[in-house]
Amino acid sequence: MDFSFPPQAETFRSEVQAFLAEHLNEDMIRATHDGTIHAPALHAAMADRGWLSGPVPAELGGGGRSALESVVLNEEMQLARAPIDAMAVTIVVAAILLEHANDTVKETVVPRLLDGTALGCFGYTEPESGSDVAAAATKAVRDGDEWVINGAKMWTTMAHIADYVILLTRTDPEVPKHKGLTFFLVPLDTPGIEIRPVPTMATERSNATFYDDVRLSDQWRIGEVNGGWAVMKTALKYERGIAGGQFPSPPVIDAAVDWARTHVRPDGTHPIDDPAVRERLMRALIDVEVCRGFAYHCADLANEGAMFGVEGSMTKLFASESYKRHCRDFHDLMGAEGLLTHEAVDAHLGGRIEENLRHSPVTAIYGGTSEINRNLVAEVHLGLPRIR
Amino acid sequence: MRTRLSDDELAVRDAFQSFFQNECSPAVVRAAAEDTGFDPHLWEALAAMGAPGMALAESVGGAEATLSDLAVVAEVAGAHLAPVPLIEHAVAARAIHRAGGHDDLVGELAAGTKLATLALRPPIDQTARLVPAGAVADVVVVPTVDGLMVSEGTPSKLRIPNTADLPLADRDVSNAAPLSGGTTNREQALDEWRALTAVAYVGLARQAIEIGVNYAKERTQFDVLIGTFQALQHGYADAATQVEGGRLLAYRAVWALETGQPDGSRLAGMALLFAAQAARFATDRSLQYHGGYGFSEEYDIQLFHRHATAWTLQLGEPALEYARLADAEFGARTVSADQGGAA
Amino acid sequence: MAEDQPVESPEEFRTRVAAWYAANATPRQETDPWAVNLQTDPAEAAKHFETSRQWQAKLADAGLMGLAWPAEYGGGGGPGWMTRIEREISRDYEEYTGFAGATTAMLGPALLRHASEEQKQTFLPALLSARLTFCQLFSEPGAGSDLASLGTRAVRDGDEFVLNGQKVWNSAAQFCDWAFVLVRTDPDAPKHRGITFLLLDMKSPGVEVRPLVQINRATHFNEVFLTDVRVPVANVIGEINEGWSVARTVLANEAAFIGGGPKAPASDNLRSLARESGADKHPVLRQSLADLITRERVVGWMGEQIQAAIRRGEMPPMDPGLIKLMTADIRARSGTLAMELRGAAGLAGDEPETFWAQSELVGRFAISIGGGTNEVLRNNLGERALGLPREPGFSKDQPWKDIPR
Ligand SMILES: Cc1cc2nc3c(=O)[nH]c(=O)nc-3n(C[C@H](O)[C@H](O)[C@H](O)COP(=O)(O)OP(=O)(O)OC[C@H]3O[C@@H](n4cnc5c(N)ncnc54)[C@H](O)[C@@H]3O)c2cc1C
Ligand SMILES: Cc1cc2nc3c(=O)[nH]c(=O)nc-3n(C[C@H](O)[C@H](O)[C@H](O)COP(=O)(O)OP(=O)(O)OC[C@H]3O[C@@H](n4cnc5c(N)ncnc54)[C@H](O)[C@@H]3O)c2cc1C
Repeated sequence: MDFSFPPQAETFRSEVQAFLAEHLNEDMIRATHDGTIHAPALHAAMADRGWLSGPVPAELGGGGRSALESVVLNEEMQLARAPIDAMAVTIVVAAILLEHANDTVKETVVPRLLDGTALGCFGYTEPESGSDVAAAATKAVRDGDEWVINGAKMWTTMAHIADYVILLTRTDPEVPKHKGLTFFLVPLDTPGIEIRPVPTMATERSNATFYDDVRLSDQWRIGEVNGGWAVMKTALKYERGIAGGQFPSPPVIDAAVDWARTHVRPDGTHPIDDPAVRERLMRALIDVEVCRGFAYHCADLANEGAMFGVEGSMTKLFASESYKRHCRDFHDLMGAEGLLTHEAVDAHLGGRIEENLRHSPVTAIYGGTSEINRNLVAEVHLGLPRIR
Repeated sequence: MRTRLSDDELAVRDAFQSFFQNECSPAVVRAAAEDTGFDPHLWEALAAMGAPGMALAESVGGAEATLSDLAVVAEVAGAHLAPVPLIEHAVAARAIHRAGGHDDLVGELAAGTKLATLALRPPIDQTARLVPAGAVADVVVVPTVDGLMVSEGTPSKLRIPNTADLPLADRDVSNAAPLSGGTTNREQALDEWRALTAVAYVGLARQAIEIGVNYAKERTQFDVLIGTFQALQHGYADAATQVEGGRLLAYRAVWALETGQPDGSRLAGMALLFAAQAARFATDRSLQYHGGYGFSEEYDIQLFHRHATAWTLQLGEPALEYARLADAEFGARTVSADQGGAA
Repeated sequence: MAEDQPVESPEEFRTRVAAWYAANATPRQETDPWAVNLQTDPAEAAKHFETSRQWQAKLADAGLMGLAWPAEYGGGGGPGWMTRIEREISRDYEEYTGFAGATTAMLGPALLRHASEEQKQTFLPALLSARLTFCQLFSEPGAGSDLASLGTRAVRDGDEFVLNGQKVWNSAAQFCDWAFVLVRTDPDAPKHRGITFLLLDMKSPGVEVRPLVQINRATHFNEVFLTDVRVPVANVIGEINEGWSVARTVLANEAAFIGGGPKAPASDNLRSLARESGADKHPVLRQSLADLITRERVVGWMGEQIQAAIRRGEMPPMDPGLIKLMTADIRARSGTLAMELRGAAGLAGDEPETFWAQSELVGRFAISIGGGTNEVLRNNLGERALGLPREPGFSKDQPWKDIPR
């Protein structure tokens, strides 16, 4: 095997590091405390560099960056704690549109997503369908040249600041569930849409969105009628592999090391001199190297044009489950001080570990739960029989 | 970036895969276990394939293969629990060769006519304790405070009874002569051992999962294949995820050592700890999911379980290995031992 | 005798039993704490079986077996605390009742509950005094976790059943006088409803026992082949075709017993190992050890509650399977920790500590597999204790003979 990066990717890494040094500041990182993981100025600066269409092939009108460069971008942004959710979602929405939308949408919407003036969001999950995303019930019925949409989506994160939602709907209830789905790109200012906030246990906020006789021209349809599952696959391809969060832990470990070096225990020692603390930190650092291996592996497969799926599942499963463990371990390490939130003036490093602790559980839920990923590894990687 | 084996590496893999499949069945492993834990015929056959010297220079009769090629063989050997000290031999021979001045000996090692091994811990009172392949090796490379030493002697062919029936024995190394290269050579040797053993663990663990998964696709309880139970599926999925993660880390460590990356040593230590843990988890799950058959001597999964525990312990307590990595990562501890621990 | 009118106070009882033990048993300190209850030599194993059986006979003679069992069947008829105190005292001594004691705890309650008066009179005193020892012939090659799918046939012929089939994993079957066996008597009924529970004399013609070797090289369990074995219908416990409920009583008591844990907690030995290697000063290992001791204590207390309820004839306050699961988990941890504490020395050598550590490492599978696997116990807990729905795909009502095999 060969784990060296091509010179171009190395150069790109330096570029990203320089970019973040210049554009990312503590205010932007703290801005996520309002619940929206988005920093408009950073987003705009990235758009300026053409990085929002990075992973989409140049033939499709994208930035044509290699998957290795995408993973580098993702890695550096996460290590620097840059808010990436809105950016990542927009990149995936743009990618879906470039692969599946008609020319009008490509010409009118995509440029606005890519120059940072418009944001997209995902509308897959519903109150009654999450893991079983293909069971979506939000109805789209044809009416002449228009579609009429009725239903409810849950967890439409970013909808309150986004301009478009990429919406999964049911267009044929008579056929098997994967075969009656159709995607639409819905402008969020269309009449009949209501957005209600859904607060979470972490700082982030999400939304419930409701669609009441929302009328849409057929030109907003993405992909074939009843061909929604093919679009979903594209979405998952970009989401799991390239835009996925493989590096949630390093900022937490950095904070723990800082704490361990500076905190003074009642006996006058620093935690960093305690072998038990050192071993825990080492275990976490080993997990990070494992995540790195997975991330580079996915990128390498994508670069070769291999359609990977299960490798993405393993990556996400390992990254999120180990991240949860790290947050718990290092929250413990801090004792009572670990309880302080970012609102407490003297919280260590702005309450970073505490904030991550509350955020970590969701990483094993959204974008495919750990259980679903285990099912996929069992069935696809190991060839174990399907349960149903 | 190539996180998959190259065509050349695949060719090496395939050749050794069929070799071990033919020459190293579980019956061979069990027969060796009844004896010294070493199979001389298997070793001769490997020598005929050029394996003992494959990663040595051509000038001394080697094949000039890369450390990565060697890793590919180590993975396959691990998957078959091969009762031959291929990793220790190769690492020891490379260390002697790097030290220079032992061309005749290295030639014999390349040909496999002499068997070398690496003691993983410094000797105490001239005795190296529980040396891997110590019961059968002609040449023992021993780590010391200053670097490496080499001791030649006649092996006892008596192993000390042990968990995995390995050919472990104590060796008198009072005749050991220093090898040049100092601590750099020593660290290189130990790191190569760590990284290659990590890869061997991956081979072992993958095989243990495969055996268990095949069983789960044959065994029926409650009128369905036990492989349909999510309890098994999720256990195996976690094991497979750890093992594949360990595999990428282990091969990255090998690559880093081979290409002289600054984090080679760090990755090698990490890979060993992680892969050993993954192998332990995988064999634990696979044995458990065999039910009563897993506990019987007859089924092969128990062989994998015992080996998974054994290989790293040859190096000592895992806690010390974490402590070693931590010292490199965070600097040495600044409190005295009586304040907080023996590590 | 009612619990509130003991003839003897707990203190008096304790003094009396302690004195008996002091006079008749070997204090544990004088024996080797690293001794492993595992015999790889069949002659040794037979000797060990016999020694424990004789110890149980001696206890029975002294009136210390079945302290809380009804007096009419050879028990002491005493209150439940007597058993607990006796158990506590016995922990400090080397001798123990071994396999015979285990079956007494498993089979005894089932006989008390399901056997006829005559059967109780015949078998309970023999069981308590270990005059007869019993092995369990439940599992079959095709019926382990799914025990109710068992296929050993019993066909009625007048006053007898004729048995044909194969059993497997039968602990101590090579030594036992009798067996309790599950057989299929009605293949047309759904699988749980055509099973009968029988007592079988192991010396009957047609019973063949073949030892199997375990992962730790002990020959503790066996295959048992039954060919035209004739068993009197009088040996049926409970009703014909209703053996499943008798089996469930046995299995619940088995789980509780296995969960009752070994006499000496593993942490005693782990502590010595840690002290010896200096690891008792190593914070990581200290934490692992403390964690293990905590778990041992918790499971000990849970076990006492369950045992007390069983002795009182009440429903246990929690599923006994919980104890067995936790015990399996503790054993897995202690095995790993033992090997880590020994380091390279745990791998090899003739020292008793090494042998102990190694047997601790694999011994846990006997618990996590034998007597109901961890996975099946968790399913049961999910369904019974938590009321979760069953996993899909179980054919409960199909006639046994129609289930594809
Ligand atoms: C903060 C947040 C932000 C989100 N953002 C978005 C967004 O922007 N857009 C969007 O569309 N969605 C979003 N989601 C939704 C997310 O993708 C779903 O929550 C997720 O897919 C799980 O679905 P569910 O919540 O309905 O849980 P369920 O599917 O009901 O699952 C409940 C539990 O059952 C388990 N389970 C389900 N099926 C199986 C099975 N076959 N085998 C074993 N276990 C199973 C699950 O693993 C889980 O533990 C967000 C969620 C959260 C919490
Ligand atoms: C040391 C030892 C002593 C024993 N002594 C005796 C004895 O004296 N008498 C006797 O009759 N038997 C005895 N047994 C047998 C024991 O009860 C069985 O081994 C046990 O019930 C498991 O059955 P199996 O071996 O057929 O495994 P299987 O039932 O084939 O199970 C294989 C794997 O599948 C899993 N599995 C099965 N069903 C499910 C499910 N529904 N959901 C999730 N997972 C599932 C199991 O947990 C296991 O991991 C002994 C076993 C051992 C190890």
